[in-house]
Amino acid sequence: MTLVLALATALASLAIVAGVLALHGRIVAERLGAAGPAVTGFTIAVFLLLLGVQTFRTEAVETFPLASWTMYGHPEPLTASWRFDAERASGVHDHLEPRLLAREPNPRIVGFWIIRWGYEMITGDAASVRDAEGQLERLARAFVALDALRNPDDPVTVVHLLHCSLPGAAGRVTAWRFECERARSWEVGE
Amino acid sequence: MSAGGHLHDTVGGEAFRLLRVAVLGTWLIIVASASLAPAWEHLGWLFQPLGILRLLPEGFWTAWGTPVGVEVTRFLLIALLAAGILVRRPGALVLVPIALLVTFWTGFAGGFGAYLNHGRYALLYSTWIVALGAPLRGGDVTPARARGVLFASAFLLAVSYMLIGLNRFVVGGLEIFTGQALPVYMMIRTLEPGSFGFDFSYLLLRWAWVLPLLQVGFFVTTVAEVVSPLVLFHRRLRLAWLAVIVPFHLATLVTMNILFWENLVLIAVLLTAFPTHVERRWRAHREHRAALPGTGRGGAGMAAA
Repeated sequence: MTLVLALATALASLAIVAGVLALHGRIVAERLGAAGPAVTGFTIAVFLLLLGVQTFRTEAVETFPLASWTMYGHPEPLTASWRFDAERASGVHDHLEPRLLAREPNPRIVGFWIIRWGYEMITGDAASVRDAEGQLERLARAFVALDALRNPDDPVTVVHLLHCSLPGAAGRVTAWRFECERARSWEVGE
Repeated sequence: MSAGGHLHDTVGGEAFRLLRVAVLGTWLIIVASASLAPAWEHLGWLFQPLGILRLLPEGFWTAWGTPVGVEVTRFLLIALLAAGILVRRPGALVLVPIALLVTFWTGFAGGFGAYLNHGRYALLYSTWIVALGAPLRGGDVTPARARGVLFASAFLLAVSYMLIGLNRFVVGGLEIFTGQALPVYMMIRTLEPGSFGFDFSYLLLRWAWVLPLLQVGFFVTTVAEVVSPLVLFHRRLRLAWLAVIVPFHLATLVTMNILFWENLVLIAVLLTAFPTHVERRWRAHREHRAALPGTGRGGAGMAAA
């Protein structure tokens, strides 16, 4: 974020809060005053922290995870580095196999490319969003190629990758499985 | 709505208790539903302490960081959260350690690949506010303090929404509402592995007329986010805000596989009249019990006589 945008956000935030205080300052003071000094201090500190992070987000988000709110609403999620949600993965073992990630030298890269390919294939053509099925088939082939390059001896991984990459499309994945297997054979030169 | 016209004007200790149970109960579900021991076992090498966890000495991670250590900590946290819910009026001496451990656990979960679950942070702020707002050694919370605690939590929740909305306007500009950002993100989130598995966006984006509607909704939602602090003071605005934000959270579930259920819990407790109703019902229940022969002060007096 440029400094101008950062300052614009901070000023807009302060203007809104100042407006609220101007209109309802008595109630705010009364309520926070009754909550005790610890709560009041904590509330003000978090507000200032959030405001500061909003203003200088690039450095501060890394320094203060407590203020990671600002990551939400980012217009281009893929410009941020891929993030691995350990809690989510632990809850969906069937979909995101830890064994697969542990074997891969850099799971961040694999995860990133899985998402990135889907992104590129869909956005490569403006009309393709409305032709998602055809794009997904291409995506499935791409995953097969990726998997074949990484581990040609483990066909189970192919299915895992497909399932984890196309949630909710399990029926279609099953129908594609033969096609995918064929593509995989082609990729590894069998 | 109360006579004063402002949110939570007539609540007291029971509303404080409701907030405490809601906050700790939400953490209990989060911590109990996901073990981090497999992540540590398979991806421990990926872990990097973030933020305030960097303050811990390196030796701590070596000593504590085993799947057994992770799991023991998780069960300790589950037990503490359950105690924090079940004990009738726990004090700050009990709640602050819980808040500390919850903060540690959240930071630890985020240390794998720097995934920071921003859906949890309003919950974390509320946890600390409840912990700091409770009497040191437990006991009753005065109505004024209860109102203050609920207000402080609601304020930070509202401010968080406001900052998100402002950021989207300032950084994203109008392009984020008129361009391809929304459909692209919907498709990415549909393709990504996730817990919910909705692929509604496949169907939705095939119809050309749907996208402009979604983009208008996105814009209206962002406006609602920006004005969030005002909903603490204006009832009609709050109702309109709820009518936009709650469907927005549900829509992100089916179109993007994103659910901020923690925020929905907080919204129900902090930005609706739910605590007022709970308080009223509790008072009526208490008065009813006190009026029964053999219970309450009057009953006890009669029994003694």
